[in-house]
Amino acid sequence: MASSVIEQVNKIRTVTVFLLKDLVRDRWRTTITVLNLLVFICCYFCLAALARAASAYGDGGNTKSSLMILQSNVFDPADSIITQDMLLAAREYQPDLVSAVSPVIFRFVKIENQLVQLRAVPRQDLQPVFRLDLDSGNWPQQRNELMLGKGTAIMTGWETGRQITVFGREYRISGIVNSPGTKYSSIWMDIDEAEQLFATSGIYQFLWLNITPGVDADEAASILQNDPRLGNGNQVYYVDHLYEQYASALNDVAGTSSVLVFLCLLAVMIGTYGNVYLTLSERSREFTILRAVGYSPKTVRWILTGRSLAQLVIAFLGGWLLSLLILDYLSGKFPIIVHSILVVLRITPFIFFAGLGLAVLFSWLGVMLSTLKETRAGVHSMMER
Amino acid sequence: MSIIIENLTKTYQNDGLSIRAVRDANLTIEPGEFIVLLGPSGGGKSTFLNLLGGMDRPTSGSVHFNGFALESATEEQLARFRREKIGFVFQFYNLLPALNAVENVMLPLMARSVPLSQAKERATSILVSMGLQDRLSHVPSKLSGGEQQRVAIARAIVHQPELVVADEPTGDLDSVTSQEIINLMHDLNTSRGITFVVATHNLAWRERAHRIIEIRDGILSY
Repeated sequence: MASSVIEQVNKIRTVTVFLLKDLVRDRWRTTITVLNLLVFICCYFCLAALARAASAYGDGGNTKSSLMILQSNVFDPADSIITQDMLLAAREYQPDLVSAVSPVIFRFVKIENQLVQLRAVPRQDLQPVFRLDLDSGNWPQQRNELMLGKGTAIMTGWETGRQITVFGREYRISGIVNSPGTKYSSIWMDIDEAEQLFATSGIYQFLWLNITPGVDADEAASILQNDPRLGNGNQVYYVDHLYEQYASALNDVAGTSSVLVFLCLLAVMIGTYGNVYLTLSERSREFTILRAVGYSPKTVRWILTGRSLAQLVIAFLGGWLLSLLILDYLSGKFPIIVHSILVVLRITPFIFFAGLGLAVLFSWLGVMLSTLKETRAGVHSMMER
Repeated sequence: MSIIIENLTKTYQNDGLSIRAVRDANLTIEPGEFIVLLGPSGGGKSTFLNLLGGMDRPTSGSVHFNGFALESATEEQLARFRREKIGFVFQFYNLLPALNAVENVMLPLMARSVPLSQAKERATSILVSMGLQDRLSHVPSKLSGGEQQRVAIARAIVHQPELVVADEPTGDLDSVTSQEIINLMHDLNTSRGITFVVATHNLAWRERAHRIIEIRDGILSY
């Protein structure tokens, strides 16, 4: 038993020494093969990150604890008009059906060349009604203070304490907040300040309603929708309905990316197959010598497998590093923003290890396919080639 | 060691034609023999050696090496047979270009899972005994033809095989170097008792042979 283990260890050492020397000697082919695999692996990482981000986009905002009332048939929520009367009508349902009702002024605004979502709400409602979590800084104490959604902070690079100009007025960012869904990428302003800034009064874009705990959300939505003062010409949504719509659009991206991810890994297999096949064709004499001096077909296959895996691992690590650089560059220069929400491309440990596992599996399959004939061939028939 | 060859026949198909490279060969090889196979090109010398060394399979007949029937062995069994019992010397040396002299000689030992340090020691020792102490770390392209063939011979005997088959070992060498190689192989035969079967055109081998066998049109004649 012990001698068998020692024999195996010696065999592995032998194969390792041989293949390392071989890779160094055959450095040009090694380099080309590694580069070839690296391109596919880099594509795998970028596409897998995109697929993950597209899938994750639909997560986190899907709650049924809040509703919003928005004008029907508007493509852009910023075009919706909700009046003071509707606000008062909604508040009549407190506290039995809804625990809180808050008006929202909603705009897309361009600040310092960045297009961002601006939500203006009563300052005191930020935490209790809109359920924002303070990530850094402080809650706003004055009208000229803004809160920044974390997504917007990442997207713009703005930090707490920074002064920004909105339509000619100076504002200070007092803190950064975190929350799921579309709220992730917003700038939060005091509603009185917004009414002054946009020269409106008693006109909002939507109402935000928190359902009273214990009340059936669907039933509450139905009651509000059927109230002619609220439902006539308006639509009662779950708050993340829009977010879900955006997410469903991105689900297509996730699906397509996943298919491409698989194709990239398949390309690794085909690349390995081609590489091993070429190696066997061009260097058949060397492999024949190995067979002649007593290396079994299995050992020769192990040498080729080790050779291919060594190239794959180098390509995989190189592709991973290159992907990190590419994603970092893209997120800085060309961030992907869908409806003001930053789509963060990230290579997770799962993507790394799943990719490594599958790439190794596909590479091994490539070696097996290309050496099928060799393992059955006699030495003499190899010599004749 | 006993090698018994009975009714050995090898037929190749070439463009629809059957070519009988070896016909009903019968031979018994005794331990320590130095056999020289003489014959014209295409006479079947190489085919016979390939069958004897387990590199090819006969169409019919048998080769029994210490009772082990080569004709019915699997590729894995034949590989084991070659790495344990046989040493090969080829006309064109067949050294691996990426490996230096020591590493080339280590190959059969590495195939037998001999620890690398031991394999290196044995390979070095045998190369030194052949006068190649200054060429140990040279790759084949930096060695002369005679030196390459000596490395190939070292590779063939380093794992102490029972039989060495050599196919035109001096076919690519000048007469002086050929004589050195002939002397070297003869010395190995007498000093180590290794059995040799050498296929050649070179008549200089005749004086060293215990037995000379002619092979023509695939037929052995003694």
